[in-house]
Amino acid sequence: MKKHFVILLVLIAVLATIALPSALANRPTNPDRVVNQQTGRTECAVNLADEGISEVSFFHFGDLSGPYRPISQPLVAGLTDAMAYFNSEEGGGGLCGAQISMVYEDTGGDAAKSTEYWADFTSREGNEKPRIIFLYSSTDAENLREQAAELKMPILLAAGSEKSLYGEDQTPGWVFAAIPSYVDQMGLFCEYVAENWASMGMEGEPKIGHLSWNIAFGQSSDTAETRAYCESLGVGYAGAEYFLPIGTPDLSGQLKKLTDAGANIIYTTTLATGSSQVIRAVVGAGLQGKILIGGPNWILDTSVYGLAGADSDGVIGTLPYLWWDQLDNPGVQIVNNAWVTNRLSVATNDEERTAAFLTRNIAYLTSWALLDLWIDVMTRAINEAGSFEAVTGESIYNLFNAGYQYTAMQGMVEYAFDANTRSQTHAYVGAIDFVEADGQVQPTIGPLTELRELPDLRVGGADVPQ
Amino acid sequence: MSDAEIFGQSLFNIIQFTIWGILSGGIYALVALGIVIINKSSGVFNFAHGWLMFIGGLFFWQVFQNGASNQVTVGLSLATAFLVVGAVMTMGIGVTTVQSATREDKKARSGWQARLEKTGRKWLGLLSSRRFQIALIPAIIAAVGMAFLLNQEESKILRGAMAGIVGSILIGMFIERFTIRPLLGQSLLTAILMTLAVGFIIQGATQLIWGADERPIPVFVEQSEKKPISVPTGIDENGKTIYTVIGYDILPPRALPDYVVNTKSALGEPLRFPRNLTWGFAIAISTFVGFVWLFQYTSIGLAMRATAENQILAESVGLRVRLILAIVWGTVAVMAGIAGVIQGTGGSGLSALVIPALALRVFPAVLLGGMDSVTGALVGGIIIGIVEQLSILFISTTAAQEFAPFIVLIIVLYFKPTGLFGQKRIDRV
Repeated sequence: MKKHFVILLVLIAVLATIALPSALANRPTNPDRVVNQQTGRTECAVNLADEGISEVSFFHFGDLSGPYRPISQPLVAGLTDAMAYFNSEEGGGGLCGAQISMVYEDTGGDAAKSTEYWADFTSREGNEKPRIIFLYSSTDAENLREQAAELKMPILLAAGSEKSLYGEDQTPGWVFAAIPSYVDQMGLFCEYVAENWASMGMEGEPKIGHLSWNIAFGQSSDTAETRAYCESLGVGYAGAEYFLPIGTPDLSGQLKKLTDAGANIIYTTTLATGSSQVIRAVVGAGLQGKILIGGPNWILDTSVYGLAGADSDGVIGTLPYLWWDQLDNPGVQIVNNAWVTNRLSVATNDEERTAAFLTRNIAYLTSWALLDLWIDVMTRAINEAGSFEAVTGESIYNLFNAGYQYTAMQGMVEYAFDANTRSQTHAYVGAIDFVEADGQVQPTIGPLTELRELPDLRVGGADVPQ
Repeated sequence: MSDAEIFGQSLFNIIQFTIWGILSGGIYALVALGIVIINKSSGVFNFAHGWLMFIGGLFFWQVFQNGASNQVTVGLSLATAFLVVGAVMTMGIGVTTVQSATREDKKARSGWQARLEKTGRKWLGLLSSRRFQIALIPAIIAAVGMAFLLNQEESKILRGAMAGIVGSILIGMFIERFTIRPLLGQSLLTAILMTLAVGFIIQGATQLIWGADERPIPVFVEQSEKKPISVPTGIDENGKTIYTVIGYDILPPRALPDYVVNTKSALGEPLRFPRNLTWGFAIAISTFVGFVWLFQYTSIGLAMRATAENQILAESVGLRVRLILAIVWGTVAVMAGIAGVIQGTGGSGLSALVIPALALRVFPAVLLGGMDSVTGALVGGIIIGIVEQLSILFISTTAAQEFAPFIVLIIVLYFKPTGLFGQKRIDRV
């Protein structure tokens, strides 16, 4: 009996040895775990060419010809170059065998046109219908937030206002930001100030005055939560002055009021012209070196030092990605090579070289990571659904909600979303630095810290002091 | 004295903020002057004024920053010659028209010149007039002088100013000739809507020609040695970063601090005067004085006033209304360009976001002073500037920019509906 039992065990073992690998081979793979070693992206389990799909479109719209064109036009330039690269064999050959194309519209900053293009895009049918739409501005995202939920159409957003991500009722919605929310960025800035104030050589205790634009974006950093968090770290609050982004001739009065209230830090939630005006006001008042200037990620940009020049040296902000100067990163190298080939090399005179230099900015850089993110999430959705046709906006939403993580452009940006998180959770603190070397001036932007987790400072957020 | 307080604010702050109000009011006044002058001479509210500021600033920037290429030099020199000829030909426009001058010249002309006129080709007749021949001499001198100034390496401001002035005059006259003149006799609303369209056209044209980037105008900056600006563009085989020089003059140098008047002993702190606002104010005052002189003491000013009063009547007494309007538009375009440059020298640079919108922000100043009053534009601009700054001091920037000027405007218009200096018109039925 014992002999038969042993023989039986041996037979089972032999059968198992033969059968198990083939059984494992037939088991459906978890597509998220199969990564293309070349691109770092999820490997496709489906070939769209087999479905007769040769092209898939990346949909976006925003202000391309209006006031925000200095930011949005390099974004489109970056998306165009990135699309060409990702469609090439080296860049992964498109999306699961189909070439990527772009469908985009220019709103000129007109909210009515945003609504019109939203209706146009979302009313398309079949394979022509977007599965996710990329928007540039917080205002558009805030306006379309409810419609996105209603139509089950996720929005990928280049900005990060808390209202667009969580709404008035603090419900994570259908808008997913490609940068950290502005309240979290403010918290990270305060952490850095609290940790490093003593070594900065500034006088008195740190006290922040907000000097920002009088729009949703500008007012998004200064909330009861960020004030409480900063004060809990020993960073005081001096007040806030909000100026119109259009046609404000001078900021001397606003600056004087804040410094009279004790501000020795000016935090500005503005884009290029606004940040530059703040910097120039500080220099004009003879306060350079006596006041620290900070802001969210937009302050660390070519557009800021392009306008303010060397006066922007030392400005501090959040850096939720690697910058152009971190060329040891392969993703940054790819972007840099494309920029040199497509923008710098074709410039034939000083004027064109300057124009090329100005496209070497935040928008061009991050557009590559955004498109990479889009390809990855679409790939995962197609793998899960089994075909492109079966992918819906809801599939993408569910993917993000289920806990989505992706390191875009081979380490350039870390994206992470889940059921409760609608924006990036990690960032560096960085600074503008004008380096003089070999008789040349090299304006750089670089991290001052390691990549670190941002505090959660939305209303009711985990890090808001009770 | 330095400890004195009024409504919780120090005396120093009240004086300092009032000064800033007067200075920024100067910029508002300069913009308002342009809007008022167009309105005064043609009854049109010019919605394209902000875009005239922007394009005038871009003309300045182009030559200020990059120097003048051969094409630009030739083009602007020829344009200058053209303008000088035009100015000489139209001298004394208020009392003697060009047409009467050519009649006088007829006697001295040869047979073929008279024949040309008979065939209706009057412009060729004009070219052969004595006045034209006289005009050629200053025109050539002006063209050569312009070419010389445009190629000044040492004086970027001067060469930029030359380009800005000539470019602005041309664009102003072009707008008048092709968009406003065809609408003479049509309803004013049509002309006003046309100015809106012109604004959009300039917006599109500037984007096509100059692209989307904001342009700094580093005028009030430290004079420093020009160093090459380079960026990392790759890594060599040894892992060393490769830097590529982009240019020498592409980033603005460090800005100069405000002008300071030492009032520490009297007020406790020194008074500060931002450089661009101070210069803007000085230019606004000079422009105002210049226009008062022009309107009151010159024949062309008289003609402008007559045109503003009644175009049909002015035409019936021999005034060339169309030419006067062209001159007005050219002049106003220059004023707009100056305002654009002054604003561009601030931190915002020449931005399509910031510059044109300034014209919209001066509407309260225009209405407060009176739509047809040059003095009103100046006073209105300064009052709005002061109201804004004191509102920043006592309340907040939001109140200052979005609330206070309009409250003041409503109060003034309630008691004086034509504005502080506007003319009350009585229409007899």
